[in-house]
Amino acid sequence: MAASGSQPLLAVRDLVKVYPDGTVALNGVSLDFMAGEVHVLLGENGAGKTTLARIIYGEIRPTSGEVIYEGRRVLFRGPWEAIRAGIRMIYQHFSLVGGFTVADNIALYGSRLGLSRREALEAARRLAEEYGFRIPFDARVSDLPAGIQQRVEIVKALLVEPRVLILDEPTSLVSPLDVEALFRVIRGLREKGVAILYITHKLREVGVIGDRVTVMRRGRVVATLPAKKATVDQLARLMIGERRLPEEPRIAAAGAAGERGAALRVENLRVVREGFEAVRGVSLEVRPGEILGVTGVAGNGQDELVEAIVGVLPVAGGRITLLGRDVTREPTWVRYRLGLAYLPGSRKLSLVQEMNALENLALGLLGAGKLRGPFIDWGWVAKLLVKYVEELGVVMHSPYAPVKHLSGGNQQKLALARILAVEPRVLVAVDPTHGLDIATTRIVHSILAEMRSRGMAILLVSSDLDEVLQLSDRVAVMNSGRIVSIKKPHEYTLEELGRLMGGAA
Amino acid sequence: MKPVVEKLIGSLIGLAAALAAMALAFSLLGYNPAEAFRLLGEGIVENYDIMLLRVAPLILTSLAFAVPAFAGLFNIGGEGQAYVGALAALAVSYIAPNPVLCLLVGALAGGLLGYLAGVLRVKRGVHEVVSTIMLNWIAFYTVRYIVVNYFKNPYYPDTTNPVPPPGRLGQVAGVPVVVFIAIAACILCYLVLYRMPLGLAIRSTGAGYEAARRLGIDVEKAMILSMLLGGVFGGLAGAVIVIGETYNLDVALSSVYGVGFDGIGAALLAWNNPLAIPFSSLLLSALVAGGYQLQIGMGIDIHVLSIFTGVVVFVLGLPSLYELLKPKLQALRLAKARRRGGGA
Ligand SMILES: Nc1ncnc2c1ncn2[C@@H]1O[C@H](COP(=O)(O)OP(=O)(O)OP(=O)(O)O)[C@@H](O)[C@H]1O
Ligand SMILES: [Mg+2]
Repeated sequence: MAASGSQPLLAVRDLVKVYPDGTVALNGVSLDFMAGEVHVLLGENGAGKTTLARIIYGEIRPTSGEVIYEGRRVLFRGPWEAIRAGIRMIYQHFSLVGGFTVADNIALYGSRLGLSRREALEAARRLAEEYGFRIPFDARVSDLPAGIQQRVEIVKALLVEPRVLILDEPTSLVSPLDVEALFRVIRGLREKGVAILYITHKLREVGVIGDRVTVMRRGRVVATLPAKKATVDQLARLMIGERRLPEEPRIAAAGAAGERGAALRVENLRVVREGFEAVRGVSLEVRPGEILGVTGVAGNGQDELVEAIVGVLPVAGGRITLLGRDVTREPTWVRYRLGLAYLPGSRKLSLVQEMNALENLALGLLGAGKLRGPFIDWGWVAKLLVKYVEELGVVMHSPYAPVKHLSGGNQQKLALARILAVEPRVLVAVDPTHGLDIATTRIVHSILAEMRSRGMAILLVSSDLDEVLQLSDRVAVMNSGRIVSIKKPHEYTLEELGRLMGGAA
Repeated sequence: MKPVVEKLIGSLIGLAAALAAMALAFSLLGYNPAEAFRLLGEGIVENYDIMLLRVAPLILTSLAFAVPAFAGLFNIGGEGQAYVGALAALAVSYIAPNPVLCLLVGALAGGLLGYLAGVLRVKRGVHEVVSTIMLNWIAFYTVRYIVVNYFKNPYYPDTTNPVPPPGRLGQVAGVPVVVFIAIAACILCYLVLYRMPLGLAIRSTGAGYEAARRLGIDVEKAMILSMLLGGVFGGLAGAVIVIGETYNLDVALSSVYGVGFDGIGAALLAWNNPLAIPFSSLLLSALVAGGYQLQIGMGIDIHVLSIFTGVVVFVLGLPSLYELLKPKLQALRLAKARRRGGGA
C-alpha cells in the first residue's frame, strides 16, 4: 500500500471535458493515483467516471487540464501510446473482436505490444494458470459468456505487466464467483505496485477491494476518503447529494400469482449452439404476477435459454408456450405481438445504438404492435419519452443524438423505458440493473415489483445474486445447461447456492 | 443537426475531389481545363432540357439504391429494374395508352424484380449484390430479346413502335412532368422512412439488425419490403424514360443503359438522403448535358465525364468501404503477427 505523502504515479489536474454536443462531463477534476493502491471511483450515472478513465487512457482529449504520469505531463494521442507507457483499461463494454478466437484476440493485442504470437499465447497461458482461469483459447469470443470474456480481457491487459490498470464497472455483468476471481487478480497486482482505478456502482465492493474511494457528482469530485472507513450509507449520501434515496421494494410474500395457468411455460427445452448443447432439457413455468429468478455462473446456458425463449436462437427440442400458445417455432416479433418483451443483457442489443432516444422508444412501441400508422405521431412519442426521462432520471443532452453517446447507465434506463411504455404480459429481463447507480437500481427494482403486482409474469435472469434473491418468488439455479434447483429464495442458504452454482449438487 | 453538416462537408469534399480529378484528366488529355469547364457550363445552359429529362430517371434509380441501403442492403439492381420497368410501361402503352397506368405497371415490374432479390436474400441467404447483378443481365437480355423480336418498328428497325400519343407525358411550364413525379417520389420516400412505421423498421434493420430483431421488429419483412420499394423506384425510372422522354426504346436499350449505375453515384453523393437526392441527381445530369457541348466544342469524349461520377462514388463510398474491410484488415494484421510468431 502506498505511503501517504509519496509521489503519485498518476495524477489528473483540473480536467474539464465538454463533449462536442455541449455536455459538460467533467468540470474541474483533480485526483491522485498511487502505486500499489486501489482507488475506487463512485458516482451516479453520467457523473463522468468513464469520461475520466478514457482521458487517462488517451482515448479522448480533455478540453482543458492535464494528466501527469510518472512526474511528467503527458498527452497520449491514443490508447496505444497509453498502453505502451504501461496503462491498461478494461472497458464497461468489452473490446474483443467477436468473430475471432480467444487466441487470435490475444495474439492481435500482443502483436501491438511487440510480442510474437507464441510469446503472447505463452504469457496468456501462464497468467491463466497463475490466476486459476479456465480459458478456452480456441473458442470464438462471440460464443463466450460475459464472465469468460472478462477473463480474456484481464489476461490481455496483463500480457505485459502494466503500471496502471483501469477497470470500468468490471463486476456489473459477472457472477459472484467471477468477482472473487477478479478480486484475487486485483490484490495480486496491488502487491506488485500497480496503481488501480476501479469504477463501480456496487457500494459494498468499496470496503472489500478499495484503499481509497472518490465520489463524483455531475463532473466534480465531491470527496475522497479512506475506503475501509467509509460506510455504505455515507457513500450513498455523497453520491446523490440532497436528494433522498428511494427505498428497496418489499416483495409481498404472496404475490398476485394465483393458481392461474402459466403465462410462460418451457418444457424439456434443448438448445444447441455451434454444435454444443448449451441447454439440456430445461423445464420451467412463470405464472402471471410472479418473478422467477434464474441465476448461475456465467456460461451455464442462461444466455441460450433466454435467447431461445424469445425466439432468437432456434430450438433443438422441447416446447415453449406463451400465454397458452405454442410459439416454439415462431419468430421473435410474433412472440412480441402476443405480449412478450425482452430486455437483453447487452446494451448493444437492447437499443439500436445508432438511433436516437425517440426512435428507440418508437421501436419499442412498434415491436409491441402499439405504434399506429399510417403516420407516426412523433409528438406523442416525445411526450412518452419526457415522462420516462423524468421518472427514471435519464441525463440526456438531446433526444435526437444517437444513444451510443449516452453513458452506460442512461442507456439502460432508456432500454427500460421502452419496456415500461408497452406494458407487456411476459417480460424476459437479463441483468436489468447492470451499470445502474444505486438510486436507479432501486427505482428499477420497484418498477419490477410493481409490474409483478399488476400481474405481469417476469423471468429475471441475473448474475447479481442479491437482486435475484430479493426480487424473486422462486429462484432457479442453472448449471451445465440444466436447472439444478428451483425453490423459494428463503429456502436457500448461501453455501447451498454456491454449491449448486459450482455444480456440486 | 451536426451529422447533416458533417455529411454536407463530406459531399463537398467528394465534389471538390471529383472536379480536381476532371481538371487533371482534361490536362492529361491535352485540353485546357479552364476552357473545358467553361464549355461544360455553357453546355448545361444550352442543353438544360436534356438535363431536365435526364434528372427524373436518375432521381428514381437513386431512390432504388437508397431505400434498401437504409435496411443495410446494396441494391445494385436499379439498372435491371429500370429495363423491365421500361418494357412493361411500353407494352402497356400499346394496349391501354394511359400514362398513369403505364407508370404503375412499370413500377410494379421493377418492384417484382426487387422483391425477388429481397426474398432470395432473406429466405435463401443469397447475397443481394450477387442476385441483383445477375438479375441485371437477365433483365437486359430478356428485354432486348422482346424488343427485337416483338416490338420492332417496321419503319425504323433499330427502335420499337412509339408510345401512342395519349400514353405520353409532356411538359408543364417547360419542365417535363416526369420531373415532378420523381420529386414527389423523393418526398414520399422521406415520409415513408421518417414518418411511417415501415420506415422506422427499415432504418432500424440497417442501423442495428441484431438489436432490432430483439426489439420485436420483423427484420425480414423490413428487408424484403425495402427491396420491393427500391425495385418500384427502379421500375418507375425505366417507365418515365419511355413515357416522358424517348417515347420508345432502341434495340440497344441505350436510353436506359447505365441509368441504374449513375443512380448509385447520385445516391452516395446525397448520403442516401431522399431530400438531397434531387440535387445530387441534378448535378450529375447537368454533367451529362454539359458533356455534349464538350464533345462538340473540343472533341472530348463524353465518357471522360464518367470520371466525375467515379471519383464521387469512390471518395464518398470510401468510409463505408473501410467499414466493410475492417475485419479483413484486422485479419491481415493477425496473419502478420502469426508469421512473426513462427506459426504457433
Ligand atoms: N461521446 C459522447 N458525446 C456526448 N456526450 C457524451 C459522450 N460520452 C459521454 N457523454 C455524456 O457525458 C456525461 C458523462 O458520461 P460518462 O460516460 O463519463 O458517465 P459515467 O459516470 O461513466 O456514467 P455511467 O455510470 O452511466 O457509466 C453523460 O451525461 C454522458 O451522456
Ligand atoms: Mg460509465
